Amino acid sequence: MAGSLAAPAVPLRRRLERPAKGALGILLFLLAWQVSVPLVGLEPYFYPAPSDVAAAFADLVRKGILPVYVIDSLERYAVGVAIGTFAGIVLGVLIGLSATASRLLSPTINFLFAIVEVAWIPIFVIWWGYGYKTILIALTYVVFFPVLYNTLVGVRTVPQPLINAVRVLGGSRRQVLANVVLPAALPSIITGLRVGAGFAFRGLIFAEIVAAKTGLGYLIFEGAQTQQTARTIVGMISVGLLWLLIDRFYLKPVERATVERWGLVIEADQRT
Amino acid sequence: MTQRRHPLLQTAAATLAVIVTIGAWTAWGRMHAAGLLSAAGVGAAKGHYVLTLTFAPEGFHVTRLQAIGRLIEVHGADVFLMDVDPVALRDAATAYWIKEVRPWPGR
Repeated sequence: MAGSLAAPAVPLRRRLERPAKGALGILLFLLAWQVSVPLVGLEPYFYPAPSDVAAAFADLVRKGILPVYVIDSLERYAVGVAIGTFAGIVLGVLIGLSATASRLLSPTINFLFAIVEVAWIPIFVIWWGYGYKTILIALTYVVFFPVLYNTLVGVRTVPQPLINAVRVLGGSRRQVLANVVLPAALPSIITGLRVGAGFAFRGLIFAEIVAAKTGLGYLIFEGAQTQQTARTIVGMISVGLLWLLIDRFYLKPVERATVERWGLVIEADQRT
Repeated sequence: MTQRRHPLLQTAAATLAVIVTIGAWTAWGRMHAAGLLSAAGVGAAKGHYVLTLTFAPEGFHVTRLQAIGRLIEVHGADVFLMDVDPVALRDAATAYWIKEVRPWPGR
């Protein structure tokens, strides 16, 4: 269905126009930054130039530090997002479908939602020590709530006539869940995943600052501690770039595919 | 009017690119390690070795190398290790920042 969506051909020049303008904006920003450094006249550890940051990037790659930290952070991120998403979907569906579960769990979940992961991390460190477990649990916690609330919205807004139709045709509760509720809630769930995955980077960086000896959060923290500010900026830029790539190549396409397959999308040639 | 590509095609392409990059990286690392270890005559038993890096090691490298044996000292870009496990050494030598592995009588 999605593959048959027709769209007018966009000339190459117009397609390149937006990214070219974006690149120009970044270039102008870097130029202004570089020019401002001698004017400000501060030490590089206080206010490094883009060229210092580029040199720090090359140095971190040459020494094999950045690739290892990126892989470590990405691994923690992927596992934390996967667990948080799974837990959020399961509890979201449960609370969305069962009034008893809703009455039982909603107050606790609403209470926990207000306590940000930053407040939990010291407790997690006491319980699970510095390292992988603490980071993973902090990440899971961050991702869990957006996925849960979006799943809840998705499940609770499934049109009742759809559920009734399947029930009238003899569908079991499992069939209603698998063939009606989950597909209908999927666009909301994916939106929750995208929001949660974005928040997860914040949780990851903070958890790595507190509880890790590797990773981009640790690089950011260690750079600041050792007055290698250019390294801190490399860490920050890496986090931003990783998020852009994950969003561009994974989350956005999955969201688009889900909305086109199960969401309220009208095919272009049916709109007239 | 043109057919629009499926949104997940770029996801598949990106995943393929990541897999190919990791595969190539891993294969290169194994070849690199095999070359270093055969030149050093690393056997099946634990031994003492000097690892020469392409730069003076930082805390990151020292921590990693401490995990494969007893780190005795660091001189410039040379890291002196005793009781190095050959399997762990093979893994460590996949890193591109290790230039040379030499046997060392130890102390």
